[in-house]
Amino acid sequence: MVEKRHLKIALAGNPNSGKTSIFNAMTGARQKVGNWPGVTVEKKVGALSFRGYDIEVVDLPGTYSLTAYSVEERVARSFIVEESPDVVIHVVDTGNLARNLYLTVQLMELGVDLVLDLNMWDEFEDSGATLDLDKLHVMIGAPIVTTVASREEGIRGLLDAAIDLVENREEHHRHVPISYGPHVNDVLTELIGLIEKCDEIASAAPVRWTAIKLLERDPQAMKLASCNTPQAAIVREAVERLTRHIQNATGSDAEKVISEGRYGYIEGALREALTAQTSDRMEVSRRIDEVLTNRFLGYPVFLFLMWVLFQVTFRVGDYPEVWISRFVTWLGTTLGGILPASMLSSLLVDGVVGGVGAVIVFLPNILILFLGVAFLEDSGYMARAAFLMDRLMHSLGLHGKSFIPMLMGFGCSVPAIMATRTLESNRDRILTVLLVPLMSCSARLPVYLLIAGTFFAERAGTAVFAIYLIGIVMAMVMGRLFAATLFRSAPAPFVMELPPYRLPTAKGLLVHMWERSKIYLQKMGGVILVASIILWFLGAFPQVGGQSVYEREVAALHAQGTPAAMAAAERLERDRAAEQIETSYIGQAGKFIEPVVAPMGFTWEMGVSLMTGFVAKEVIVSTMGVLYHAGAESNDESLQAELSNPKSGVTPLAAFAFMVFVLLYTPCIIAVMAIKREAGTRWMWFSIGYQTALAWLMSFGVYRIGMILGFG
Amino acid sequence: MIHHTFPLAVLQPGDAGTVVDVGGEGAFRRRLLDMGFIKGAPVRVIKHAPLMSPIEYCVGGTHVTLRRKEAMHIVVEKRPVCEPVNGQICKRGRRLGLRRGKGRGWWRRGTSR
Repeated sequence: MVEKRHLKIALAGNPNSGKTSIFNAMTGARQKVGNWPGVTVEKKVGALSFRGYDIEVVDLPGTYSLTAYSVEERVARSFIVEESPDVVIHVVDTGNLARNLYLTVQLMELGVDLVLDLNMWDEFEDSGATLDLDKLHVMIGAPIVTTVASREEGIRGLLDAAIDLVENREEHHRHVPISYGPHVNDVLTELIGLIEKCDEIASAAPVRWTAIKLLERDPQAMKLASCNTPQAAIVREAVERLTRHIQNATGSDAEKVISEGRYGYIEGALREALTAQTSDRMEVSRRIDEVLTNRFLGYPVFLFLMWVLFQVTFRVGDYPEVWISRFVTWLGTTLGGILPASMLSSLLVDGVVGGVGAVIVFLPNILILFLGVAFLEDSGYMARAAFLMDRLMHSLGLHGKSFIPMLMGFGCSVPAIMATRTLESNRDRILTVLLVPLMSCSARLPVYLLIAGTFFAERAGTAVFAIYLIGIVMAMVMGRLFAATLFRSAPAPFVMELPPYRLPTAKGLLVHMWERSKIYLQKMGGVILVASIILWFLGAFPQVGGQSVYEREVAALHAQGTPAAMAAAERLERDRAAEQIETSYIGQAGKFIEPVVAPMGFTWEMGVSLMTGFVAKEVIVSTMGVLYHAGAESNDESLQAELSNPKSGVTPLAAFAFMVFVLLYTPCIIAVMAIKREAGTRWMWFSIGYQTALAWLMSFGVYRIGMILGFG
Repeated sequence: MIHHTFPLAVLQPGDAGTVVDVGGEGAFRRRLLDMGFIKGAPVRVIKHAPLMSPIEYCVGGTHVTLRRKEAMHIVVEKRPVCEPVNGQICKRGRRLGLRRGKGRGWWRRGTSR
């Protein structure tokens, strides 16, 4: 048997060029999604077999250029330079050739073996334009293939072209040097000569590319040239001299002149090859935009769409969620019934089953939300939403696209944090991730209902509303604060393309949805499960002594069967549960931190509840129920009675401070894992720290100022 | 013929011009260059967002949004008509009858600077 040959293909292209559709069409379900090493930029790798080749396809981040300014562009170019793929396929939106070929020209500068994929060819032909592929080929030097990714047309031709190129390089590919105009061309020749004498610089990347990047004062190229050899010093000196020369000769700095040179080259190529289109491809989009970004209708339509997305995600998603939790509870009780009562069965039932339940309970939300987000993105509406919201969000130091994650935060932080992937800039993404948990999620609502219902009776609605408002105001304050301190680097400019509206394909939507869910289950599920088990352990151990005494007494009371005895048995059970939590590690920790929570007017029971709230915020209610020897529901009258009893030591003011604390303090373990996944470990710790500190300060402020004002 | 140059942000929807210079620095300026804001590129104002910023432009066939203050960095020469370049046509944003004319209403304030 013939040994299969390996081939590594990289897909490059602008955002909205249909690159992902090409990738999906090539690899189908055989793809892996992860992060590029060291950064939170998504890396997608797929595999396929074709003409006896094992082909690995790497989907590079969508970029307009190959500068060193954005993480995506750095990732894309360092992959091409360092891992040297056999072929780079550049996916191009044929309807917008000039802008797309700008990246082609930069790939040509890099000297890669290139296949140019003219995608969305059907739209281009429908527009009435014509393109002379032979003439374009002369200017680009790379084989040219036309495809329609949405219908999966031309994919085989694309792969054929890539393999032909590898097998028969000379025949299919010429490296065409790009002319940037006389001033730059001469300078470039001189600089290339000097770089070739310096091995350190010449060996790291293609020489012509390095020379161009040095003239552009590209930070990475400058770093490369900063090595400590005499030749490198000559190169540096030459760069200084030559960029000054360009400046003097053209009256404009080298970076600008080179960009203009690229566009000039493209314009020259297209003047020969392209005839004007008779219909404007943006015409339909413009008509749609007359409604969707209209001055009067834009916001109502946007808010309606957001309302639908929110409702569908969290209301419709609620049904499967309820089924899942019922199933998990059923599984727990059944297992508990079968297994003899022991530590192991307790671990299985409460730890493992509970942990798995905690993980998959979010799955319906995530599936639905990402189906919606994928639709918004693929249709082109996401860019319009950002266009509408940017003014408001920018005043908080955020980007227009931050709005959707922030809004989803009111449902659940976990999918909301995962939705920050739609933001291109790392800075905006991390800032949004940090602020999303301040949007009060639905798991915190039971806590508010319990506390407000107990202490603020008819004004409960106002109290809960105030809490939501505090969250939003805090997000505004912290957003501005972070933007002014931690993220001093200028916010990403809002240079955003408004792509034409397109009908998303079912495959594209499903792949996107499945991808997100897979990431959630694979990359986060395991960690969440382990964390849940650990937290369960901390809550269940050390076990209360004298278990059997309890059980015997309860059994004896049950045997009596009188109502009084049954009530006594129930009381005993509750006492035991309360004692269990009190003596467990979590309970001990809660008691230990009492001095920390006391200044806010909290009792140690509240401290312990807050500790258990790390598992999930709604757990705070059930913990309080247990600790106050009462029922564990937010509308449970016995719990409300216990809390409002003066003996509980909770004043209405402290209760309000408690709600503020619950709103602001560390997100639950699952949200924390989502933060780790999207922003990295460092920001995860930062998020836990700043939120807890903020919660403490705010609650302390509320309590103390309230005391001074006489509300205590 | 005397040409007048303006910051791009000053142009009203429907206006067209040619890019003369791109200011700003670093990543921001580079991004503008990459998106096609280079000397000689035709640019047309399509529409404002409802809150006046950002603004949608068509530059060399691409529809791009810029915040108002970002659009201040681009210097353009106003042109009476938009000619097709590279086969790309920038259609002017059709406006509601209400919006026709300049300087009417409070929302025009701050744009005529």
